[in-house]
Amino acid sequence: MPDDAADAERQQASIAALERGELPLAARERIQKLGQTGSAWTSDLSVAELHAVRQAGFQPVGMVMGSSVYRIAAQWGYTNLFGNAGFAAVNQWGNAGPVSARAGHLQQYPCPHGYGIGSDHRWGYNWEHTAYEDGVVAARDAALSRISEEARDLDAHGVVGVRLIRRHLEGVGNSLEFTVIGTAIRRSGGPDLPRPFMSHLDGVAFSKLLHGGYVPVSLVVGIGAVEIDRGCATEWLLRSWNNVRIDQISDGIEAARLLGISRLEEEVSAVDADGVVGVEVDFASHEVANGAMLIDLVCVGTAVRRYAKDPLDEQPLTIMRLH
Amino acid sequence: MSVAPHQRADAALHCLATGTGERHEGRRFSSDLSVDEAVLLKEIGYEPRGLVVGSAVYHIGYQMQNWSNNEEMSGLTQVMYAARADAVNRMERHAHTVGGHGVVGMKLDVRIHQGAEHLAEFVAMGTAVANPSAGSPRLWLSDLSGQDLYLLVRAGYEPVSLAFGACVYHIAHQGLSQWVGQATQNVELSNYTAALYEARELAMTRMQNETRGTGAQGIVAMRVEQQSHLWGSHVIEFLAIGTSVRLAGADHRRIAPKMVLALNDGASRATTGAAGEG
Repeated sequence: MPDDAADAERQQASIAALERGELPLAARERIQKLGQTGSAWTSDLSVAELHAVRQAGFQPVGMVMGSSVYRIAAQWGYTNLFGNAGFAAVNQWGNAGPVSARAGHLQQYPCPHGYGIGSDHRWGYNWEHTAYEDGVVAARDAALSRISEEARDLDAHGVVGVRLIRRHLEGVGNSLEFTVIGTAIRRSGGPDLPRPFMSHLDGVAFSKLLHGGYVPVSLVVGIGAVEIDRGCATEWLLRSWNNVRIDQISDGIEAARLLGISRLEEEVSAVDADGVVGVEVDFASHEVANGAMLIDLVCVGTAVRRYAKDPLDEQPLTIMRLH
Repeated sequence: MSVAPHQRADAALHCLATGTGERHEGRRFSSDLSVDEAVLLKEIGYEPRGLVVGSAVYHIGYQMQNWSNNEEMSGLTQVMYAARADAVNRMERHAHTVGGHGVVGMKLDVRIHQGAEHLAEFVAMGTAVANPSAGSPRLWLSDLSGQDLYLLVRAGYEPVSLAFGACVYHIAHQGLSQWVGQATQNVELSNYTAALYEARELAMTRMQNETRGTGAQGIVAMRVEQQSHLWGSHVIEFLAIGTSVRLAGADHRRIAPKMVLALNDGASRATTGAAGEG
């Protein structure tokens, strides 16, 4: 049937465009229509947000979106690879094997007896899931570059109220969808920017931020994923009747948190921002094979630059409500 | 179309286009401040320095309990206190390394990790801030929000530290004959009342003792949290926690808030919650 053939062709053309780093056809056509004179702008701003954005000197130009689905590479750990034997000098698939992952954080907890053989005598390892971290970052990069492309096509200066959707697709193993969606805004007569700014803050918060002397730059993400494969020394502490600090698990959790924070700060530097506000911290610990724990910290925020040091035009008014 | 000049929007876009402006000096910061908090802290001279965190995982063991006695489980009290102090100390070290003068919006949580029995993570987290025009004062900690801190400073106070005290207490089980004797009457279960009193007072006294010698004049936003964590219903932890403060100058400064009476009935009901039921 000719229609099906045309649809299939269109789909192929969209996939080819994505692979060339361009937008799929449907997105390109919608953006073109939005840009035509006489067409209404679209936005998911509330009425209050709309007025806050206008108050700040900007106007909405249209809804923009960027989306990307990634398969996250599998990465195996030490205990899975080497059974219970442990290994003093393991290389995290640095260059060999099916997965070539970045070597990341690694901390080892030797078997106190020195031999490390069998289930009661094994080394412990805290190691970083770099393939997962890099996969999330790559999916994020693709989604952000697509939303920027749409915003640029609308001559927007930036996007506010960016909602971030990070989810696993049902039935697709190790998949991750990363979607960002928000309202592009523009200041007529404003200068051209190297790239449009992105902010997950809503329109009202954007206006307050600008008023306070900061301007959003980009959406930044910090991820730390550390697997804790317990060594025998840790197991014994867990079986004891005592109230004790468990060093290996403390170290692993702290490492994941610190990795997430330092990645966030690296991303702030990479976009030449001064800092980040409105950070949402998502912390989870999962049980994985052999009683190991996977600690996963994801922080998302808006990187900002300070453009004005002076205080607000007026001091905030303190009020007392009489309901 | 002519566009009305808008000083802030133009300055902001200029900063984005050229990278110049009145930028922060020093390190690039992370933070968990909201926009409101970041803007208000800037008003009182504080700049964020970074998100800081301290984490400590403890195995919470078992302690023999006397079934029919009200008593403090001192072993558990000690570990619950020591583990929190451990997390706070680690967070303080982190705050020092990023050049913080204080930590705002601190959260001190206990997370029980799934699957791993008796494994509790104590985590202290907040945003380190610094006042570039101040010297390098002693690091203060506070669980107040940026908004609260702004009000505190405007009223002439300064935060001193986070103060907390803990008490893990075992509440006696009632004997069967006692239960049978009282089942049909309204009576005060005085052993419960006494136990709750005792435990709460111990936690609060310990918190008060922490402020000794720190120069603090008071504790604000104090609360007593009550949790059984993983011990069942008869063992309860009481945690008293708050921010200790002192006057920066000689006296309290009046803020003189404007009185506001909202004429929007729906809005006022929504914000006061229970008023709608009256």
